[in-house]
Order: sequence, then C-alpha cells, then structure tokens
Amino acid sequence: MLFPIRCLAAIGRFFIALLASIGRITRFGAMILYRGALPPYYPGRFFHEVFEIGWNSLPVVALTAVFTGSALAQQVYSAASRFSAQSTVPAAVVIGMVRELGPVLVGLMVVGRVTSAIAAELGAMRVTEQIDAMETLHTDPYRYLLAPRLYAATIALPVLVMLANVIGIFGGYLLSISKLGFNPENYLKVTREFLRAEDVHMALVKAAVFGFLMALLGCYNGFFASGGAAGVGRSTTRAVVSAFIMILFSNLMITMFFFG
Amino acid sequence: MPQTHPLIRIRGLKKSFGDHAVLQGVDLDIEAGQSVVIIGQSGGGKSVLLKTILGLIEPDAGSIEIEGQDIEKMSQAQLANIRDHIGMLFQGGALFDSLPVWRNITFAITQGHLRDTAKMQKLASEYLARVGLDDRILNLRSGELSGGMQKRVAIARAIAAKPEILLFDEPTAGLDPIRSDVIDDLTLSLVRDNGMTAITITHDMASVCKIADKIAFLHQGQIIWIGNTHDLRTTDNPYVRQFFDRKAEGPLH
Ligand SMILES: Nc1ncnc2c1ncn2[C@@H]1O[C@H](COP(=O)(O)OP(=O)(O)OP(=O)(O)O)[C@@H](O)[C@H]1O
Ligand SMILES: [Mg+2]
Repeated sequence: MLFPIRCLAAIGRFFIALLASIGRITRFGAMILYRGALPPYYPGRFFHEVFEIGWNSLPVVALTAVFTGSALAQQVYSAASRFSAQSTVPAAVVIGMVRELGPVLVGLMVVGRVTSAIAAELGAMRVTEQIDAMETLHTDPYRYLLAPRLYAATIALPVLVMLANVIGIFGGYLLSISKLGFNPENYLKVTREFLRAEDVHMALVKAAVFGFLMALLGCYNGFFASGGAAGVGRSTTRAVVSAFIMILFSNLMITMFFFG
Repeated sequence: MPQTHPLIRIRGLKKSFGDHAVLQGVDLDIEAGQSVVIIGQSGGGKSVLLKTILGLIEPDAGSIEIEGQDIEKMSQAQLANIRDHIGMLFQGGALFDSLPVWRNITFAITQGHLRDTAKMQKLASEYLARVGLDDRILNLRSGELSGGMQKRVAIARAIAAKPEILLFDEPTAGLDPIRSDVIDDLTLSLVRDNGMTAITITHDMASVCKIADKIAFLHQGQIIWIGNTHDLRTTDNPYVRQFFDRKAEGPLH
C-alpha cells in the first residue's frame, strides 16, 4: 500500500476507535444515571462522596483561585497600562475568572484529586474481585459505587467553582488595592457592574458538565480496569488524561454555544 | 417416575482467553443437596468454571442451567435474582478492604447500608464463631488480618447471605489442618443440616475425602472423571491416580 493511504487508514482506525469508546462511555454513563435513579438509594454513600469530592477539595480550589485571581490582576494591569487602560482591571478579573479561569482551573485541579482517586480505587476493587463479590452480595455496584460518585461530583463542582470565583475575584481585589493603587470602593463597584448573570450561569453549566465528566471517566476507567497493579496504574493515567482533554474540549464547546 | 432436573446443569461449556482455550466442553450435573468437589491442576480453569456459573464470565459456547433456566438467556434482573441464591467465596477472598469485618459479613443482609449497627455486629460475631474466629476482629479491616483469617471472614460473608448454593473456591487453602477441619465441618453441616448445595474447589485431598458426595476431575478443559470418595481411592484412571497419590511422575505434569 502507498504510504499516504496507510496514514489515512491509521487515522481512520484511530477515529473509529475513538467513536467506539465514546459510544461505550456514553452508554455506561446513561446506565449509571438510570440505575442510580432507581432504589435502593445510598444517601450515606452520596454524602460521603460529596464530602470527599467537594469539601476535601476546598484547600486546593481556594489556593488555585487566589493565586490565579491575583496573577490575572497583575497581568491585565501591566498589559493595559501600555495604553493607559488600567481601569479595566476589575472588569477583566471578574470576567476572566467567572467565564474561563474559575471553571477550567478548578476543573483541572479537581481532576487531579478526584478522577485519579476514583479510577485507582475502583480499579483496585475490580482487580481484587471486590466488584464481582459485591454483585454476589445482593448489591448493585452501579448504585453503590458509581452513582454516588457521579451525582456527588456533578453537584459539588458548581459549588466549588462559585467559591473559586469569589476567592479569585477577592485575590485580584487584594492585589489591586495593596499593590496597584486601586481605590477599594471603586474596585468593588466596577466588579459588581461587570458581574453578569449570564456569565454566572455559564460558569455553573461548565462546572456541572466538568464534574460529571471527571467522575464518569474515573468510573469508566476504574470499573473496567484489568491487569493487576500495573493495569490499575494505566487506567488511572488514562482516566486523568482523558478527563483533562474532555474538560478543555467541553469548555470550548460550551463557550462557543453561549456566544454562538 | 417424574423427571428430576439437576439443580445446575452444565453442557458443552467453552471459554477461551485469546487463543488459550481454558474450558473445552465441560459437562457437569449438580443435584440439589449435594456436596460436589472439583479437583484439577492449577491453572486448569476451575475458578473460571465457578465464575461462569455465577455469570461473572461469559462463556464462548455451551449452556448453564440453574433450576432449569438458562442463565445466558436471563435479563440482568433475573441474573441478580439467581445470584441472590448463590454464596460465592472467591479464591482471593475479595473482602471489601475499606469496610470493617462486621460490615463485610453483613453486607448482603443490609445491601451495603449502614444500619442496625448493634444487631449487625452481633450477627457478624455469630458468623465469625461458625468459621472459628472470635469477635475481637469485628472492627478490623482486611489488611489487618492474616491470610487465613481473611479467607474465613470471606466464608462467613458468603454464608451470611443465606444462599442455597455455595460456591467455594479453595476454602481451606492457607489454613492449618485444624482450621481446615472446622471449615469442612461447616460445609458439611450446611449441606446436611441446612439442605444447601455446595460446589467446592480444593487441592486438599483430606478435605475432598471428608466433604465430597461427588468429585469431578477437570483436566484440559473437560471433566474427564466423576466419582465418589470410594471411587477416588480405588480408581485406576491414571490421571486421577497420580493426582490423588501426589506423584510428580505420571501422565500429568
Ligand atoms: N480474566 C482472565 N484473563 C485471561 N486469562 C485468564 C483470566 N482468568 C483466568 N485466565 C486463565 O485461565 C486459566 C485458568 O485459570 P483458573 O483461575 O480458572 O485456574 P484454576 O484451575 O482455578 O487454578 P488454581 O488451582 O491455581 O486456582 C489460567 O491459565 C489463567 O491464566
Ligand atoms: Mg483457582
């Protein structure tokens, strides 16, 4: 076969495999939502996961947000001062944080904590046959293990992102008034003027989608792990990398949808 | 005479992993109330056979009927219903390592919920006593138990679900002879007194002789010999002979 044709064939195979796995993951996610919606419910497991995913992510999220918000203020200030537009700092911080940096950075940070933990824990349970054992003990792993994680992440992420937005804006505010010489009242007034409901809605939608995706990819890769400890390691890596990519990709899609 | 169905009826069961043919046409009948022991070489596919009975591994060909129903044709819900009647001991124990011993044992009863703590702990300690363990380990996790203790907790977990069919994958492996005898007695009493049906995999010939109503020898993916303990002692089947006599020389290697 000619070289270009071989290349095309390889690309084709890649996309077919990609579509196939998107199909499998979609079906898996639908199955979790469906079974999780039917009793028996596990509220205890759900709140445990909310605690794990939401509460325990707070330090990471808060630090990410405060550093990003202040760095953003400094960057906008130095760029804007080239054409004497320093007054745009509060507006740029609030828009940049709420629309993009808040959801995306929190999403990526929480993937590092949550997706990896989900994939590793479920993967270890799979390869030690604990998931098989659960099925023989009158308990559905979809309801007991998967649904609580998926629902908890989908609900926890919007809350985390909102907190991150507030903290990020506050970080920008602190830097601006302490180092860049902004007037505190004026800064807050401009921030309030530029904070729009649509931006907050977009941030909430993004956060929920990111939370859903990060838990789903962790669950999928962990639940179907095989091949011992090394296999669990590979599944965890795959879960994290695919969650990163899916978050960045869906961020673009949602942004284009809101502005398109 | 009315036609009596065996409780479990396995016909022509085949399973390969890649090009490694593990099960190559297994036929086996298991009558209700019997204690059946499966023996055979390591890596011969005994564990795979048990997992196909549970529907955890899908066979490539053949059929498994439980109470006259083909498990391949069952819906997820029906399969779950059948599994409710089966208690499985996995070869590796498969204890939930994030839960304490007592929650492992009562997992099937509470379906994983955390409730009736006092009552469940009491129940768990009763089951621990049946496998020869005391209730000091109730609150430990599986990582804090010895291998033999893990195995026995896993046995307790399997029988606490009050199954009708027991699938025991090497229940006495890793246990000292006295503990092994306790487990053999337990298996026997579950079968004789509680009317359960047991399928046990074991490499322990003393245990085979004690608990088996029927012994099936799995070799090269097929059941090549079936008999009772008397037949086992007197058989002239060279494979079974060599296996039972623990000889390195012979047709098996
Ligand atoms: N999930 C799997 N994927 C690939 N191969 C497998 C899988 N499970 C089992 N096998 C293979 O099937 C064969 C039979 O395995 P099985 O665990 O049933 O053996 P066994 O008879 O229980 O042995 P032992 O007495 O040592 O427990 C082995 O060669 C094993 O490599
Ligand atoms: Mg085995």
